Amino acid sequence: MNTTAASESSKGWCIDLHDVSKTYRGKIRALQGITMQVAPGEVFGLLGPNGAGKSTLVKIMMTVIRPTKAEGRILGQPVGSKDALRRVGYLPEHHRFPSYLTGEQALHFYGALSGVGRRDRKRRAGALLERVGMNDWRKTKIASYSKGMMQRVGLAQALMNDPALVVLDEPTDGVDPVGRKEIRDLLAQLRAEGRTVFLNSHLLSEVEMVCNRVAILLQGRVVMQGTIEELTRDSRRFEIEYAGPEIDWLAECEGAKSRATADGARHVISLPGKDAQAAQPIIDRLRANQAVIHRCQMCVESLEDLFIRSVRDPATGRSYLPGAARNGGRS
Amino acid sequence: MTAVIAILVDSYRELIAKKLFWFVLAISLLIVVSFGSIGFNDKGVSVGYGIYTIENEVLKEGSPLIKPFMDFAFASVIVTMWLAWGAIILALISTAEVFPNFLAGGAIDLVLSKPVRRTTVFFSKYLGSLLFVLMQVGIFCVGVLLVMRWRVGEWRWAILLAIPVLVLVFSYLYSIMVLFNILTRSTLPSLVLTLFAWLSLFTLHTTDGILLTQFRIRAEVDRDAYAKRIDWYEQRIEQAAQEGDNDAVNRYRIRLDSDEASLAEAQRRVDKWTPISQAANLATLLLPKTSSTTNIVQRQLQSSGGMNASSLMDALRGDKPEPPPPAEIYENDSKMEMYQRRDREIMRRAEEYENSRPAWMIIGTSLLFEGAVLAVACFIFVRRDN
Repeated sequence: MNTTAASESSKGWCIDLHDVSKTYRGKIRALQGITMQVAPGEVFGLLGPNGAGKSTLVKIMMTVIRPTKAEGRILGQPVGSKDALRRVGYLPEHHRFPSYLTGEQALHFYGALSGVGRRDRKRRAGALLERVGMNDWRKTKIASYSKGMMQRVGLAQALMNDPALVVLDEPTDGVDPVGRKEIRDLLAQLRAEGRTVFLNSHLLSEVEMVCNRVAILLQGRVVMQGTIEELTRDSRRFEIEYAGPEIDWLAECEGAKSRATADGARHVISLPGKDAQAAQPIIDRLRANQAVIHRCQMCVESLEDLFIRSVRDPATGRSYLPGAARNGGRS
Repeated sequence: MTAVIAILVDSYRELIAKKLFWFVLAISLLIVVSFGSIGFNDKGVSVGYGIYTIENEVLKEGSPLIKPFMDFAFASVIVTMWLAWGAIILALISTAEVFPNFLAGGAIDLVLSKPVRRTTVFFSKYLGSLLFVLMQVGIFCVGVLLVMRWRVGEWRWAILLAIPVLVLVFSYLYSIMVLFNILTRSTLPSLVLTLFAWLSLFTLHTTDGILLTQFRIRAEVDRDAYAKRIDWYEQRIEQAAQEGDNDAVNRYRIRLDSDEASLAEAQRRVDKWTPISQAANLATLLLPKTSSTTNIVQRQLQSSGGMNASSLMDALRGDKPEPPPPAEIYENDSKMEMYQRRDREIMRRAEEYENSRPAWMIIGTSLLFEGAVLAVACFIFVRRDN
């Protein structure tokens, strides 16, 4: 797989979307000019509140939904090209396998639809069921599978065609904590194999653990895109918590802010940036003023904080209403 | 091609996973076993593998009527009553949920995200559903073929024609159901609407048939009968005049005048009903013809050494197939005999009319309808977001 990833890399982006729009029935604007790039070999996380358009975007990429407008390429092929899908594995959200098939038969069926030959299907089905821990259930009808087992078979199905790009829509949905850990490990393995993973998930902690880069969608628009480090760079700060009254000389320190703790007994001074050196003069002055310092800490925004910040209206401080935009902008 | 085969295999697995499939197969096999229980001995027809004998002078061991009788029992009773109605209704019920399940969210996403064209997916799934009838009718017909070899002593290969014919009949109706499936994505409404459409088609074709047989052909038979009688009376009048029998001349003249008035009335009816019947026929021309398509099996069996229904009935009753000479008809007939003869003539002409329609036209026009319905369904399937 590393060879494949390298060849994709030489051509550019694995996913390179420009101006992807989708309007339902002429008034519900699910996507409004999405531009997004995913590099080969990375795990990319797509985030957003309910109705932001994440699944619509994924379905457009997978040709399940027809876009109102879409430019760009996936694995070097135009968006909507069926040829590109030969090298794409996809696990939809709330997928439904035919209940009359066994796990093994389901892999054969979807593998055949992806154009995988009979011999390869047989070999890969066995290996993948083993990989997702479903080998003992290969001959059992899917009707008797639990949700977690369905997800595992779904993941195996997405890998049947040895894809260069794996698109996973809520892969840990309904999976227990142990299963989630195993899926995270699998994603890490896929990345190590050089595959590109496009992950759509609500579970921010998981996305934070496995993704190189993320994009946050809100009402059909990309509001943030980049590595987690890039996106949280501005939120990095040095915090000093001390016991005592609010100091009156803080205005002399550029960018510093002070706030009282919930009980009002202490105050917290925040300094933008990650340079601890800048905090030393403040610490010296606090100690000179007999203030008791309880905590000095470098703080950075978590992905959850970043997400909450991105879906909040800066003017009102309240979250945007869930769902797609109707006849234009945010509400 | 791998994808098409995969969808067909998947359809096969889906169909055999249904309990109804095995239920229909069990009924079919029961009918084959019952059909095989009909035998012939020196006294007549034996049923229940010789348990009971129905004495019959005409239909017994060695009779030449055994083959047409068994053909008739297969084509007119089993095919028409079971395969063309019962089995097809059960097949429609069994396959009603195939497309709605296939189109359900989460299921269709998996299929459409594969490198297969939507038209290929649609038509493969459609053909896969036809496997239900293909397998059911196939097994049934092979069973009947073996029974015929055993009872008639001859391989009646024409029986196997019922397999493609019944698949065709089912496909006409299934195309309608698929359109409703695509539009509603629901099983029950699609099934009800399809059965309603089938009933509507049946009503339209029955109306067409009634207009043809009970109005147009009846009027034509009357007109031809009166014309024949007028010829006959004219000959008699001429003969009586030569013999100088004035009483006979007057008697025939009165009848001739009456028949000339009746002929004019019959001709008026022919003129009235012919365009109406033709219009009804034209209106149903491009609709699927389930009954006519099913009749192709009967026609094929007749043309390969069988008999038509009316001839077989005459033969079983011991009637002479030849009509009596004109003198007996017009001089000594009772009204009852006259009406019976007229009804037989109507039936004969209706059969003749039905048999005159080439099979390619019946199937071709029905397939045109099916193709148009499938094109609309496929267009919606391809264009729709899922």
